Amino acid sequence: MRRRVAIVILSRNLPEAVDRLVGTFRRYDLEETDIYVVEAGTDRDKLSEHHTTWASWDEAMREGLRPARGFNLGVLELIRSGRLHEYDFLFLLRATVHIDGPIVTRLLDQLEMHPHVGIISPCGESWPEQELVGPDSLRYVWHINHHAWMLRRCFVDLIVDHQGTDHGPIFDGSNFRSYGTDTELIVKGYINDYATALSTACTLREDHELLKSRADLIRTDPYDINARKVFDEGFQWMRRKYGFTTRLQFQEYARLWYDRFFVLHPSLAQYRLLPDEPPLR
Amino acid sequence: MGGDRVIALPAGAERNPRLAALAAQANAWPSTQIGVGVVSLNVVDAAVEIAGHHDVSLMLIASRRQVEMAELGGGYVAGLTPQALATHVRARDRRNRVLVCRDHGGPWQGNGGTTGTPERAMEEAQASFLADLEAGFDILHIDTSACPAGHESGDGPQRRLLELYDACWTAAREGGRVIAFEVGDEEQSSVTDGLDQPRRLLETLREFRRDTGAPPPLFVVIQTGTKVMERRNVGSLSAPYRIDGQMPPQIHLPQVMALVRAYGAHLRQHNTDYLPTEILRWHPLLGIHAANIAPEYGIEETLGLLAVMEGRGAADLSERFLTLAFDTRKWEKWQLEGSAGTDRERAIWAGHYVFSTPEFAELRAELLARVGLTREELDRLLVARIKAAILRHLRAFRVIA
Repeated sequence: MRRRVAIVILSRNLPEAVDRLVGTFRRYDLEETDIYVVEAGTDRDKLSEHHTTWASWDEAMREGLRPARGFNLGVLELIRSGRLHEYDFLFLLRATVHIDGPIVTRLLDQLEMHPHVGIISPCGESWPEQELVGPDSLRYVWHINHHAWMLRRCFVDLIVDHQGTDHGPIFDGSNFRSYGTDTELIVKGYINDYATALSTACTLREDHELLKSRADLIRTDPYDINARKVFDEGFQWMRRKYGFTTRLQFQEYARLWYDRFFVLHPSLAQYRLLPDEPPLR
Repeated sequence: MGGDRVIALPAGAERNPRLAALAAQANAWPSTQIGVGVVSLNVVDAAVEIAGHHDVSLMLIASRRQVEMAELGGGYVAGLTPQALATHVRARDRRNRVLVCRDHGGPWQGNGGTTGTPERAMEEAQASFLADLEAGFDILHIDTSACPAGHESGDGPQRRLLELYDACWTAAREGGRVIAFEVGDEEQSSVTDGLDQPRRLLETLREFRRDTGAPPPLFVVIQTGTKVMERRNVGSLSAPYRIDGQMPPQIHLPQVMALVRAYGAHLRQHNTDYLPTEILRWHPLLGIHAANIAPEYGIEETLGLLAVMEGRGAADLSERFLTLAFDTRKWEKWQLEGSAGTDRERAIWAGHYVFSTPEFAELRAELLARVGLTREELDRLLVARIKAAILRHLRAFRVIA
């Protein structure tokens, strides 16, 4: 039976977290999925037994790959091996995410009912958007952080950049720490007539404690210092690439395309996150 | 976003020329109107000078702890009563552009804190508001969020708000005063709370107005994700990442604006201090009608004073000043849990609370003698620094081009 989903887990020195995620997928979503694990600068003795790609060159060992370059590498390996087109969906998630239950099948059910959704994310357990979305439902959004995104492959086909590794194939890897690259992908979706959806059919939990207390393991700077570098680099990237001087401008840019999507698809307006909100003028 | 940034005054309010000028300024082009906290007399003078020099409307907002009637103990800012503040401003505001406003008027908002019975607290709140009206205040913020333990449950805050709204409106009408109201019964919080509480308040107010014919509030205070601690804004509005458990502001704010719009009110954001200019610049486009800034200006004055002391060979006086401020322990309310703030920083957060004390007057006299400045020259230096801080906000809010 053809497996429709390629799961790409991005990890650095977190073999237990990878094992936990792989175990969950095998328990609930085995039939639909192949699992690929990108070890982004992981020490040899902390490689997960499930790893399929090991970024072990000097810079990767020193700095890691971070989300943009890490997921790019995972997708690039699928392209290089000729396997990308065997799948209908790519599920890109960080090893720091906790999930329970049959998450893939639930997202697939929703993607089948919403062919214009190019990206779908489970809602975080603590995200107040849950109330706006309602139980076991979904809404289209213009803003959401990338923890675990399922991408429709035909959307990926539209945007994939076959040039180089830093700037492709999906995220802009020139923004090393990746702040804002998720918003950019959402924009690329709406520009190409694909919405981003937030689902409450399943939920995720981000392991904040892992990020805060195990920075040494993941080999980032301490949490606060890393966060500052993430923001500073991200703001510089937004300014350089788009001329935006605030993240709000970037988000409003995303909203412009979001609103335009509903002009083209008025029947989908019921799935706006805030149905009563007037579009941008 | 977009077309709902205008400020529509309640019927009759346009007869107050300062309210009319504020609305005209708000409606000329997208801008956010500013409320300047009365944290010191120099801040008042700085705001009035800017209004005159740049021909702009702005609101001076005085809490009951800052400015209070003498019978209730007066305020910590130069002992100003409502009448004294209004007289001071009116004498200097040559273009009649400065609105004098009560900020957080209401029970248990005065010097006594949350002590005293509800009856006593309401009597004092009403007396304070009547003194404001008598003094010619333009906008009254009725805030009934403060409650001592045991009185905070149920509909008490909203019932008290309606009682005060009715009393103030009746007194204003009978006294021929043209005023506007600001309401809000939420406490300052970094979280973007749900909208149930403000919706209930606005709905209750609408029913109350239907029965009494009172005007709608001009402004309503709703949490937008701003909170001031130490010298930072720790709310979600300026946080680059999601704060766990909170609605991201870019989703929360459109909901707030829709709610405010539905009830014909206007959003007033409190705790706007220390936001970076890039976030301030976004306020007019987000449709935030008005925003208050207070301690940031007090700290500017404190830093200006320290610069004079430490830059002109009177560092020993700065130590005495910092000790005086530190010993008030007023910094405790601004301190973050687990703060890494030094004692000097803590003293700076509390500096403006001592400007009107006899001990500071003595210290200042010694400073003037030591550095060869007159009191007027020192105040000019401090006012210039405060004006720069206010102008940063006015430019970012697009009030001044």
